[in-house]
Amino acid sequence: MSNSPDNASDAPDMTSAKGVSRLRQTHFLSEALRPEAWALIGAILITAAFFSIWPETGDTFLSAANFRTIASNQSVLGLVTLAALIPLICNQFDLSIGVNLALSSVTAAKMFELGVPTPVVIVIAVLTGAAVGYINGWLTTTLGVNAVVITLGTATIITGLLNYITGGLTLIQGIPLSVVDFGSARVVGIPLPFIVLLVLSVVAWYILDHTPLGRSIYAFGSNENAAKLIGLSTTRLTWIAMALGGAYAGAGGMLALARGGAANPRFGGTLLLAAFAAAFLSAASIKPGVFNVFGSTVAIFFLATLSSGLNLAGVPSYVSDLVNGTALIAGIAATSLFARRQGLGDLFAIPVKPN
Amino acid sequence: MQSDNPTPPKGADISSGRSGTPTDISSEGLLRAFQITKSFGGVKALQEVDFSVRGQEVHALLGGNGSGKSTLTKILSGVINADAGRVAYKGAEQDARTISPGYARSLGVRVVHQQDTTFGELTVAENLALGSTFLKGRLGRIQWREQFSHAEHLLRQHGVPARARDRIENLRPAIRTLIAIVRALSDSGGNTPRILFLDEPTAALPAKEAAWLIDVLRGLAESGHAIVFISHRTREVLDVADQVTILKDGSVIGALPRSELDEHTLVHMISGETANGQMPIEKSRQSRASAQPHARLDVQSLQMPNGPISFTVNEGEIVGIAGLVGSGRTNILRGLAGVEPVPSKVCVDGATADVSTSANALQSGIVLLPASRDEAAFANHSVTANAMAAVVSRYWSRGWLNDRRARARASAMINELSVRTPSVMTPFSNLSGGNQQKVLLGRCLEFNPSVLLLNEPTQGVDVGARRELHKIITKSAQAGMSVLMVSSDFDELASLCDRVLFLHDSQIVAEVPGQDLTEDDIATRVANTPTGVT
Repeated sequence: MSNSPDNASDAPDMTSAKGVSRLRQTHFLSEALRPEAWALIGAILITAAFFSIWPETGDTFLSAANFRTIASNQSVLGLVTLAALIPLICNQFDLSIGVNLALSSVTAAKMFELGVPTPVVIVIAVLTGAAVGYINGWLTTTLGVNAVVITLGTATIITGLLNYITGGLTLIQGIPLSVVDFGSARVVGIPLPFIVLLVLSVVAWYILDHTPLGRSIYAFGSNENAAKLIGLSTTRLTWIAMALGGAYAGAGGMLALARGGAANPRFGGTLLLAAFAAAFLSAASIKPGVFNVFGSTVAIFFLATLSSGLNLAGVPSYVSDLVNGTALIAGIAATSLFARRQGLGDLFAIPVKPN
Repeated sequence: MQSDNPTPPKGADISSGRSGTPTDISSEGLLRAFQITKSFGGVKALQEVDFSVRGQEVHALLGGNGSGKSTLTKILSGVINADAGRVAYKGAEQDARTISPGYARSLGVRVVHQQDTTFGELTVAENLALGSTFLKGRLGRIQWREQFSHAEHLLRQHGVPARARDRIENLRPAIRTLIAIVRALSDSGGNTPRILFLDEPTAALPAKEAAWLIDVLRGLAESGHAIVFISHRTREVLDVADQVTILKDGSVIGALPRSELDEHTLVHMISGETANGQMPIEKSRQSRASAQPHARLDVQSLQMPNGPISFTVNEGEIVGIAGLVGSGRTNILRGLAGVEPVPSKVCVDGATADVSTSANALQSGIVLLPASRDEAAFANHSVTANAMAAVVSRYWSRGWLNDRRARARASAMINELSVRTPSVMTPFSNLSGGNQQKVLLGRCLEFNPSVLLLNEPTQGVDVGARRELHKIITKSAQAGMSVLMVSSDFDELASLCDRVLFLHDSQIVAEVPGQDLTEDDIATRVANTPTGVT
């Protein structure tokens, strides 16, 4: 029945006994030199090398055009991944980011139809996303339930709203040529959307890693009680993290509009699962055991390289799904094993009580 | 009823509640342990401990924190393995290094933990069945009618005043505890007499309820089971125990029948005034004889369950709070720190302090170190991140966090507090308990608080770390902080505190100057508070 080894409060300190042997494994520089940190990048290189050498894909895979396609195709997904990642750091699952992206996209298209100037449209698109995120955050903390439940509700509402606005049709009217051109433009051979992703990733990295706000979000994610104890307002942090995530979904919507030259109300939903997959896998690289911005970039391009090679090899698309799913689970398994070995606890355990 | 299901004892006289002797019991011990030795790392947790329990016996296992009670329980129930020793269960001898939980269980060893292990939303019958198995019909359907009548039978047999269909959450805590015990006694494994380890079953119960539970336990033992009773309440132990074993620092320092003990001897043995290793820290009051005491913390009223309380803590003073678990001592600290806000009127340095949230309490200069490191720590973050978590914005300048400066400050803190860690970037969870506690205390001091609230500051840390933590606390007080400290470690209270407040039913029943107190005094007073010492 209850032979569990917990409640060791008056046993001699067992953590210390284990701690002694573990301490020796940790070096001062080990953070940067951990092989785990770079394993996924290695996996990208190995995958790329494989498809470059393999006769069936070698010619097309190893072309600048293909790398451009990979980079460009993943830029929207990259932004949605950041939208998933930021709330995830403080244990909130925002399931509305996909439709939130579509909503921003459609809002932007409607603005263009009305002849609103492009810079204003961009700001409105991002703010729409942020507002949805903020409302999600507010509902989450006010009702004290997990964001999964709230965002499932708001996502459904937004889906209905999108159908009401668009009648289920893709909006193509009035989108300026400059915006569409932006979606396919290159700077020194690099697709502009990819540059947008890199710049916005750097912004996210700056906010999360180099501001007190970001550190507070990570602290909240590590231990909500401890965060409260040191005077952080977890309520406000939830709002901020979810609004920030929403803003990234909004930016994703704007970029999707530029890349497609149209606002598809059903586009975002398909990105949701891929975005969460990459967000989880972000903990497998760069900073192992921690959800992190560049880890998510690496994860996206790992999965993209894999599916691009398989596409070129002519395998049916369902094979890509199987491979992607397997890669995700393998990556997560490796990371969580690593985290447990390092005594970091169950990284991917879903918190039962959100607040 | 199928043969693999537990059948209620046949022909038990259900009305008496004390019958149904499972099988005949030899006068030999049900369980005997010889020369059990166990160490964790370099620390000896148990040293050649002998221990034996008979059927129909209530055996009290006593000792302070870290004395080895839990370790012994875990070894005998197979949760951890000893380094050396032998255990005989009902005469069958076994190497103590190889006992598995399943083996111990098959011989009737059960442990009922201190925390509630019943399922509140389920009925009594379901809770009892979860220990063994549901009575099932042909297609695997649960035979609810039989299940309920079987549960009713068990309840009557053990004299539990509850019905099979009651939901657990509607029952009194004492009855819930009893249900957990009955479950352990009646689960699958037949009707062999059980060797039941009860880890502080009365810790969270009011005195009256505890007395009632004790009475029931007595009856359970008489029906043939052996009960090993772990408790801190000396009076209770003397009420119920037939035999008493006292552990200190991993060794048995006394194994006597109840008849050879009185309360004074018992308290004395547990707190143990052994000469070695006791280097009383110079009490802080001696160095700070300020002519005009200045009340830095003035609690004019703090709403507690039985009415508001008030007290003050002067500048540079260490005030202890002594009381049993459940006396409300933790609530005082959590209320003052805004973690679990209660209506209050509190002043810090003469100014009204808002303690409605943690953030506000911190603003007012009140900081809390909670008892549980799990609650306070960012376990997967680095030592630096933990030490500096509260003051991150100090290292924020020109749009960038200066991590180098934060690490330098963390390094300095680690030296000041003699934290042993390979580096300031080591994950916090890799530190030993004592070092973790030093970092968390350091984090509190980083606020430069006016009022430092400490809950069990040295719980679960080794002797060396304890002494170092005491030094840090004393130094903080000398620097002018007001320290309010809850502790179950009476030696700690006696050696550190300028004053000790005694708490009973969340009211302060006595206030005693520290120089008049010894560890024994505190233990006696705390043990006696149920009858009211003022």
